[in-house]
Amino acid sequence: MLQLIEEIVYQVTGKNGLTYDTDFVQDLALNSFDVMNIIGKFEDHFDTTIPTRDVWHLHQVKDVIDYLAGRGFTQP
Amino acid sequence: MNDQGADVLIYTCPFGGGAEESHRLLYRAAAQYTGAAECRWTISHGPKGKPHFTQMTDVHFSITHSGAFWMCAFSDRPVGLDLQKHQPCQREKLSKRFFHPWEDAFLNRRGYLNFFELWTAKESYVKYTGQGITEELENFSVVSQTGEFPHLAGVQFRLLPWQKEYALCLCAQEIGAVHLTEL
Repeated sequence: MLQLIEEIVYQVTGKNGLTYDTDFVQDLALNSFDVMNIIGKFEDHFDTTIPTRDVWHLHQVKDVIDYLAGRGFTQP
Repeated sequence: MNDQGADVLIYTCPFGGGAEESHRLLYRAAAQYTGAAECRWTISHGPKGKPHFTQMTDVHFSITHSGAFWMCAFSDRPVGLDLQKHQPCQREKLSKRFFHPWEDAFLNRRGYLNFFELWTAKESYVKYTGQGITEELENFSVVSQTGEFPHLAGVQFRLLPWQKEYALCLCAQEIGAVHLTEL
């Protein structure tokens, strides 16, 4: 899952080198549009809808992995 | 205080990224804005995360960054500022997914050319109110039912000219004079 997240973040922002502890805002300096664009890519990939209100609680890569796992998405 | 609206001073400078760097720039800009030798004021956050100086209740600011630039708007009244570099994305898909139907209709009529201007207007509004993007973005519209843009009852927007490939929008209850200056 880490690899998938890294691929999507790279596609959207050109940034790489993610770890489980990478913070999207603090470490990658992503802004709100970057995050929205990334959500769109995740929704495409998993053919699902991610409520906007959920997204702003996902600060680190591991938060995204836990969130997706909680919704049953564990395989890329 | 200007009765005609909030006078706004916007500082801009190149930005390499990172919250620590943004924090440092904010203190530098705040010192320039207030004329203080240096700024070490405590920063507090509103219920949805909007930052403000704890002791300086008459100094309002709004930070934004995108692409190679950082900006911060200062005023004696609440303001929201958003800068966004035009980036490759699925404009129509994102518009239908995240924007209000009136906004999507407005963009659709224009071939989605104003996508980033509309995004910065929405973002500047949620920064102005302090609500942040914690709720669904499609729940409010910066386009009126009759197609006027930017428009939202109770606030004013000003789309500001900036460099090519960037959109920049300011939001406040009423906007007075606006000046951009390099930090």
